[in-house]
Amino acid sequence: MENNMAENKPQFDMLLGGTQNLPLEFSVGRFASARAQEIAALTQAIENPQRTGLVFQKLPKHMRRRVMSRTSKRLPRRLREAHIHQLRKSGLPPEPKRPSRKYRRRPQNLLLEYNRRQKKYVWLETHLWHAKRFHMTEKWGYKLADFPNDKSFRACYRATANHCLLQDISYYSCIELNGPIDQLLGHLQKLTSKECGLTFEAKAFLDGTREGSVMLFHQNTYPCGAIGRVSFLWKPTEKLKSDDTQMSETRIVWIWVHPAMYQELLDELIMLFHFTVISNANDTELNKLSCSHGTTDENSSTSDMRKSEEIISSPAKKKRKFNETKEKKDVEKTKLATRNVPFIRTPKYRSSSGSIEMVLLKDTLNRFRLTGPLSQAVLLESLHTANIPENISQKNKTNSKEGEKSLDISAVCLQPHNVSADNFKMGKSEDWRMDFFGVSHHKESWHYQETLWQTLKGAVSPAQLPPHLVLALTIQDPRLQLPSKRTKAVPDEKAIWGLESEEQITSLSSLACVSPIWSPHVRDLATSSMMSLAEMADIRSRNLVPGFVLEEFEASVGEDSSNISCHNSSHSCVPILLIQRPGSQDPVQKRLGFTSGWDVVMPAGWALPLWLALVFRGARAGGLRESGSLGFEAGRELPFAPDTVSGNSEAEAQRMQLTERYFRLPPDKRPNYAKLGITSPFICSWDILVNDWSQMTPENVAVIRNTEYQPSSFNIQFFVLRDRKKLEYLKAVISSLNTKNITNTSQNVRNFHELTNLFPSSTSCCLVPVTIYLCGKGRPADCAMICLPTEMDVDRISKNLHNPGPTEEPHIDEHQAERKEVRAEHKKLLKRLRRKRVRERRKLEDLAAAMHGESEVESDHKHIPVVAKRKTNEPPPTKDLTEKHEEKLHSLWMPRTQMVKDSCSRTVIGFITKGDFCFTESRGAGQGYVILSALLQLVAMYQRRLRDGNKLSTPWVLVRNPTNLQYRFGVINIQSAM
Amino acid sequence: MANSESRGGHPKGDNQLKKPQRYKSDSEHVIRKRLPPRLPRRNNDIYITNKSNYQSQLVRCEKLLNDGESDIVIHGLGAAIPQAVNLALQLKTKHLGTVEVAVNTSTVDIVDDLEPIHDEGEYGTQTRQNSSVHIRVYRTALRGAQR
Repeated sequence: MENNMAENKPQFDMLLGGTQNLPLEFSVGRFASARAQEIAALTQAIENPQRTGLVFQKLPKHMRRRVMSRTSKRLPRRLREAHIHQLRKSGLPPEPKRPSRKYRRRPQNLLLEYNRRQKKYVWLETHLWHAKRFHMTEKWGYKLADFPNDKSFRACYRATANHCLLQDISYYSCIELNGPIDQLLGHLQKLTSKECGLTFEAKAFLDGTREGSVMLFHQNTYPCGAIGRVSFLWKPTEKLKSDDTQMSETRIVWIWVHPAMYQELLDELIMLFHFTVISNANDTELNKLSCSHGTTDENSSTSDMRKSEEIISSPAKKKRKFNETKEKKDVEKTKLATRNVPFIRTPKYRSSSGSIEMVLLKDTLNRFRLTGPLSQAVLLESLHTANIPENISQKNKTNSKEGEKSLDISAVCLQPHNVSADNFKMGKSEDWRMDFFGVSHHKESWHYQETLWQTLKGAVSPAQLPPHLVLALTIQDPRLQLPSKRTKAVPDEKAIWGLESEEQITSLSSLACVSPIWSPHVRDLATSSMMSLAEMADIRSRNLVPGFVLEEFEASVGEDSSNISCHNSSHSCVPILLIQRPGSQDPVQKRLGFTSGWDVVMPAGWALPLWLALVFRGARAGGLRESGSLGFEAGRELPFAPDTVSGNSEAEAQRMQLTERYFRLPPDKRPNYAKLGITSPFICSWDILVNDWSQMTPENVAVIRNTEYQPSSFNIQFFVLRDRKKLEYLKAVISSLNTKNITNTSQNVRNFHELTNLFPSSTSCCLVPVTIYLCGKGRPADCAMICLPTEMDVDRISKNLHNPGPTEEPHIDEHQAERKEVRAEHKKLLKRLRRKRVRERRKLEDLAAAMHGESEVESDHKHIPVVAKRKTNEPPPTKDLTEKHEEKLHSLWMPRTQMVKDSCSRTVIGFITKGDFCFTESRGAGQGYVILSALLQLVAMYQRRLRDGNKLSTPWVLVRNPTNLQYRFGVINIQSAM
Repeated sequence: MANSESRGGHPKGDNQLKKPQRYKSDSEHVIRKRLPPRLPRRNNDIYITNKSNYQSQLVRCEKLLNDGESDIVIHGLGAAIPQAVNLALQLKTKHLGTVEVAVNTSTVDIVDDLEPIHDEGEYGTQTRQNSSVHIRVYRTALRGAQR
């Protein structure tokens, strides 16, 4: 080997007697350049190694792991980057690691995950309960329960009619306004109209004993520009304060508004009062304060716990317990992280004058809705009034005034400095019950409320109580009396609804609605002092007989109170408000007391305990679908009127959804609406209908253009008739058309003249809410058309009541041929394009093959890439084309609505917005709107018939479903005003 | 004719009832009715309404009697009294003398709420009396005797 080397290389062996000599000189430049080249070659070799194979193959075998191909973290760090780079090049991107299921399911992480998921759509507090049992939908910024998973459409109806239906309507947002009452009312009356019924300033509601509801409009736009119906509740006046005029003038009102119109109303209120946001700079400081306050609260509570445990547990155990409780407190707090829970977090506004303030209590108050006769029994069984420690209240009587004042300040004032002062006070007044009920006036109210609650035991249904009654209660933690199994609450057989109770109910004192829930401080305390689930479980575990928690709890509380901790007792009670809903009050329309029930308002954090308590008493839970069907069954005003922005957007959303569904169907499963003569199957196109009707008389159009267009910036130029008086007149006229009232025909004629005077102009841009009951078979669908019958139709039905009604002749589909042509053309085009693509690919392949053939000679194995195959997630090359074609076809299937009124053989006068089979009427029914001028035309026709001596007559109209050619006869009724 | 009326005149033709109350547009209040207090509902209590189908109510009573209930009580209030009486008498004739009736009458205090129409008005109540009938229908012979 060495010899060989020696042979190849020159050996400078002159000195050894060889032939080779060392050169005498050598050029540095050449030498250096040669070395430089060498170095460059070496660095290049290091930087771009020509090594084949994967990076992890560099590792010795004993260090290789199979997971390395998936998780780069198992590789040594020096190789990781190159490895990831390699992986990426091979088109296999390293997946982000999902934490293990075990890790994810840890309670703490789960909670955080839940809070993260609530960023886009807020959950209600009962979300988890619902998510297991309901279909959830995303609506109005919330994730809401739509309908139960079990088959329960009828069951829910039965629950409302005979038992108790429970709904979580916490998505209704509450807006608190406070300020001098005259200013408040002065501004708020710009949003309302006295013609629509009682308003904010109605005496009946102003004392806070009843909840009112009112239709709101944009400022001074009545009758156009409706926002929606809201319910409102005034905070009751403090009688003791009547001498202090300044305080008595400042009032608080809670406005409960549907989230669909929340933002609209909020903007309107901000414009109305010139509100500006109270800056958050102070708030953050306050937040800190409250946080520190919260921690002290924790410490005190834990120390209490410790005291009670001292006898039982050893010191070591005690320490562990301490940590545990602290942690669990945090858990409860995390649960409420998405709610606006400490009062400081709620957004606050102040008017430019500074006297009026607005607090957005969205997501701070919970509201449940119980419907049905048994809701009374369910509530009575699940709500137990809390006791007030007598001795403490006696002791506190001396400084009671102060306590009250502090509460009032916190309720009334939002000025940061005041709040901080209040915060300071909070430190000493931990037990809100003591503070609030220490005042003699409040204590009296508590006694009154308790006796009243006992009296209500005799009532079988909430419909026996005064309508819209507000009843405040302070109840014990409902978990303390939870039955071990789901039970059904029934009215107490022994309790008698005597005259005395009747009298007590009829002469309600204003004491019934005095509640600490109005104070934000109390609400916060009630939320933060709620016993955590862990504590609850702890108490339960110490119970001798499973299922009965109360006795044990009382015993422990007794111990505690002997250990001077009265603080603990406020753990277990919460102020709530009960609001009665009267349901049907007119036996002519619906069964008396149908859909009567209670609303329950409670502070944040208490929703789930109360929910479970109610469900365990036999209340059946319902969702959004039930809300809809309930309103329909009760024949109530539709929640989203067509002349409101919210109604419009709701309808538009529904249209989108239905259209999408329609075009997902194969063509032979789609009803051909062109043949059916339906121009707008998925939306009630009111604007076009109104336009059609107003074009009948050209001078009318001018009037509308002049009056409606100029002042309002809204492009809705029609409005729904909400004037109570006019609706009553219309109703009377319609009912006088009934055969049974045939005696007063002469009066009818006079009525009609009155009517024409009543509506001097713009009758065609006015919609009248109507309810239509079908006279025989049939079930109106949503967006069904209401049509004017011809004289012949009326003749036929008056002769034979079983007349099924006229049918529409199938229309000619003008676009059918065109559709066919377009489709064929499109198919052809696609085929052509495909052929072209194939040809191109072939060409390339041929080229490649030729090159390949050449290169084969040179024995090069490199493969020339041909047209790569399309990846699955890549859009097809003809995507734009097909989309355009689809759009065109859609427009050919369903051309833009041009006119509605004369789109079929009978004149269209309106639409049914909600139609279904009505269980209460046991026939098909629909709620909708008709054009006023059309209604007058209808009335005129029937009155002419009456005058002509046709005996049998009822105000019939024709209803046609969008998927059907058959018209059905229905009886029209004007929907009563609220 | 009768059929046509019941079918066609949907709002049950109770407009005479509704009208006088509704037409007081100049007065201060609207009358809203509350649910009348009812006696505890046992299995054999039947409250008659004008709105429910007469035949089905009759079937319900018969079913109860045939299923071993020794007596049933039929309650009728106000306008439903004739229907209740009719029902009881029909039960009597149908059962060929094996069923007897015992009639009690009473007066029920009914509370109406007066809802204000104008903002200045206050809520009020009015109490009125309405007559009611409680008909106990009981068997005189054993159930087997009839069959």
